Amino acid sequence: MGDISYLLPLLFVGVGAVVLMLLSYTKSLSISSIAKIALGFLVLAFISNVYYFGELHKVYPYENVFFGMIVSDTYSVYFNSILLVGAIATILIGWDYFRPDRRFTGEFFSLLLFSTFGMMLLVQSAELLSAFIALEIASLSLYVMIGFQTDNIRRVEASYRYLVLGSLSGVLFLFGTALIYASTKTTFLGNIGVELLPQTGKDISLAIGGATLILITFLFKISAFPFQNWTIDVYDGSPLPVSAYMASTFKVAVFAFMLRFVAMDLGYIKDYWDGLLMGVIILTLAYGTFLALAQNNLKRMLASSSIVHTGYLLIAFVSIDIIGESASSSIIYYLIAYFLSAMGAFGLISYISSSDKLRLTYEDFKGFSHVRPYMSAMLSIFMLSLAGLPGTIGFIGKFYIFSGAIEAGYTVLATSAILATFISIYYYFKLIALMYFYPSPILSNVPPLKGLPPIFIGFIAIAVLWGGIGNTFIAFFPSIDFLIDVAKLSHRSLFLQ
Amino acid sequence: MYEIIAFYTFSALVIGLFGIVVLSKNALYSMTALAGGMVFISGFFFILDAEFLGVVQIVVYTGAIMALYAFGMMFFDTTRDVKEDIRCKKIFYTLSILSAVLVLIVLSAPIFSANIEAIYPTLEGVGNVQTIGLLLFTKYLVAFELAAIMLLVAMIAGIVLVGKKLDAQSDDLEVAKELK
Amino acid sequence: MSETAVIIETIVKAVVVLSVVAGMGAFATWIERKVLAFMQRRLGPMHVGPYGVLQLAADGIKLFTKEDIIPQNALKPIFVLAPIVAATSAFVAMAAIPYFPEFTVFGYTVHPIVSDINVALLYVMGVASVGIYGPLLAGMSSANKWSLLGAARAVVQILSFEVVSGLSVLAPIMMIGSLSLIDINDFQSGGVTNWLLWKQPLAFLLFAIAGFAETNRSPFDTIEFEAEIVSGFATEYSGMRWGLFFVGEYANMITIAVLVSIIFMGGYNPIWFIPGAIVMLLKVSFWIFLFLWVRAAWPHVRPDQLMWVCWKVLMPLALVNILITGIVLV
Repeated sequence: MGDISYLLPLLFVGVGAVVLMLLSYTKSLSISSIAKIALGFLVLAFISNVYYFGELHKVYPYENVFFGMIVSDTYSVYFNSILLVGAIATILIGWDYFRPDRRFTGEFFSLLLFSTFGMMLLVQSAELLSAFIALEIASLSLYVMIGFQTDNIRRVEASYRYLVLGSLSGVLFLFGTALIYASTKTTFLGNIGVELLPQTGKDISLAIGGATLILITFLFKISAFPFQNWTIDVYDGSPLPVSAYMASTFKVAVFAFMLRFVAMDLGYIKDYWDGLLMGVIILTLAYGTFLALAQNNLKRMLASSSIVHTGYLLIAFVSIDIIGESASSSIIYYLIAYFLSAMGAFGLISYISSSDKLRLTYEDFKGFSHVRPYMSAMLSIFMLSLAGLPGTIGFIGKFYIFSGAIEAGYTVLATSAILATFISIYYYFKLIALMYFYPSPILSNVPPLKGLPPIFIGFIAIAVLWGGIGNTFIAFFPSIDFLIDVAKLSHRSLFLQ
Repeated sequence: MYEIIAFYTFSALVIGLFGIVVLSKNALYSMTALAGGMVFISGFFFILDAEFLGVVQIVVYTGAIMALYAFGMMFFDTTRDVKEDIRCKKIFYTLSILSAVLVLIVLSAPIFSANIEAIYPTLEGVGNVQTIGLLLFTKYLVAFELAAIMLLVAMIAGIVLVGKKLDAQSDDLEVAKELK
Repeated sequence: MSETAVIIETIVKAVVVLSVVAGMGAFATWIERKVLAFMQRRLGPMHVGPYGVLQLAADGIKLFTKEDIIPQNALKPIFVLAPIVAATSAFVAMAAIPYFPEFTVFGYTVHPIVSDINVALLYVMGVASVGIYGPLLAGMSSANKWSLLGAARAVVQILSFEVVSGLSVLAPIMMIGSLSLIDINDFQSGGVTNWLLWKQPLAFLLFAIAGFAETNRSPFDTIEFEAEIVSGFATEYSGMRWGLFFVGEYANMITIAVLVSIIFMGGYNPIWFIPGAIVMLLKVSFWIFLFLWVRAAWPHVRPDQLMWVCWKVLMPLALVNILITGIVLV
């Protein structure tokens, strides 16, 4: 297999999106069969992607045609796997949610695949311009996916708000790219870093400005502190599977690109950001925690807690130039941990509320365990993992990040993060307590465990547990050690020639 | 000398027209001035011997984008003045003036601080079109093709969001007919 | 040659082109009436001057002296501006068109082109597309529903057919490899068999159809079709302002005729013993005549049919043509 094999995942998703677009025009296929086709394309892409999983390589496919704008390395394969699993998970947990009577049509799946295509491209792009376009492809489809149900005003508002703010942040990215180009005369990752080396003796103030603008876009997309205002309303206004998709997958893709950019090029510039980023992190943690404490609605609580998790991730991001490999592998690992837990939690809530237009609050879960013991068990697992209790994958992720931060000398950050974790136990455990310690159930019309979504969510729950205890109990079994090894390999593959 | 005359004429025209765009209360005046300003901006490209960009400026902005704006404006009565509802004028003016000054500083800083030199100076005997074409179809091929996909997504998005409303409206019409 | 000399030469050329084309446009109105009359077994204007030639002078005087009416609710500045835009854009577009082969007068070589820019074709089509603002602004500022309908039809029709004409002309450009009209002309030197018409028949047909639509000629004159929307965007106009729209329309017709002659029909290359200038004149005259002929012979189409044929027939055909040309070239 030649260069094409490195592009197959992208091709499958892109072609799938176009095919779905054409199929949804005919209106003869039911929505579930279109979902099946979308699933088929994603699975094909996933299989062709896994082929290179964990293999140390860095290839610029068709370099004489693409001029090194697209790269395929261990790093991108790793993240593409997460993204593809995310897209597959979105379809699976929304299996009962995407129904024609909710005005979901075939185009929704086309947009989902386009969005995934954009994210995968973002992970694979080795150049700022194509990264910008990839980011815009992903965001554009997301805007529409959020507001797909045009008869629902809250959806439209969320979509519009995200569209306006997102476009603004996209413009900043473009402007930053222009400034970097003005300073370094290149937009290719890898070359920028070479131009910025202090040895060249160049005035790099323009590049610093440009990189900071790109950082702002990045902070916006992952909803870090000064740019977090949209998060709760947009997540709350979106259909639940879309919220899950945004919270887990989109964040992963943006983080993946920024990590590559910073690790490859901005090591020198990052020194200027240290103070700034530390402030951002502490405020993100504080503000997110405060917001999460104030929420009564479960979906809004998960949205605000996603801000807190952004804060944790940024801690590892700061320490990346001091303890490079272990910091980036801890980010990569934490992304998986958060991805699994958030996907599971959002998915389960969307399944519970899929029968009617219920907005789930804490109160609704009083005594839930008596009606649906398995569901409450799964929900508890996800909450435990989000809180970072030992025995779940969330704990291992947090452990790596905090120990890394201390190792890199950011004790203040580690302390505040641990504080935030302690407080977070309150709002996660509140749900568990309500579910188990109240006698009479309030929710009556919860669908029973039947069909695809619960099975899939069950798998996620098992994965969360297995990631937390697997390596201690089952020796010689591929476990998180394997994932962490691959994460380290991925980091190394960034610097291959 | 004629270049200078042309430059200042075009500058005055562009600034004047864009001033009208911002200051006029009538949407049709603003649109006309904006379209005119876009045409005159192309004059700068022609002065710089970048004919291709100049023509593209006319075709894209004036010929296509502004015409679509105008098409949208046909749904309103454009011969009447628009009443702007700005609650706190002070903040509004301060912010807009501040951002204008900021943009000016950001754009002019590199000009004053360093000599700007072209990395790809125009080659003798090779026209604008060829140079742009070469860059677009070699180095930036991927970005160029991806932009096409982005536009496709935008098109799907537009059709999905608007097309459904048209359906709903036609349903309403049918209901109305049945009621009669 | 000094800068000033170039400027003066350019100004002279511009004035010549402007006056000649305006004169031709006026003359074309008389021709139109005559041709239509003969095709309908009438005589047409006969009373003013020999064979009614001076009718155009009479019409001109009538237009100039007519009362200038601006409707009460119209937006005056825009209302006044619209016909000027229509006429100006039509004439400005002509700046990059070579009309004749270069010739020598008193030892001084004259290039009969106002400005030879290397993207001439794009320029001509781009600036001509600005002409859309004539009907558009006229319709929107008139405060009249018929005008607005005419403006809407104008935008839809002209924008749509610009796509077709742009795509259809892309195939010949791919063969020639230049956007300069002079290069396009030189590519076809050496007799009738070298005309691009034979190599790109489909592109020729599409471009001609789009030309008819963009100049708002019958059978595609939906923009100001009397039976449907009174007079479209020009409903409220009278006198000289209305005349300016008219001049712009005829100038556009001449532009399209010249473009088709240069791109597809060998341009101003001489044939046998006939010199290039005469050949060019003949071709342009033929095309003007064709415009009139079609008007006399064919009924007009509905706007929805027009859009249907544009987006579902002509545009795909143009794309296929480009694809085939590309495959053949490679």
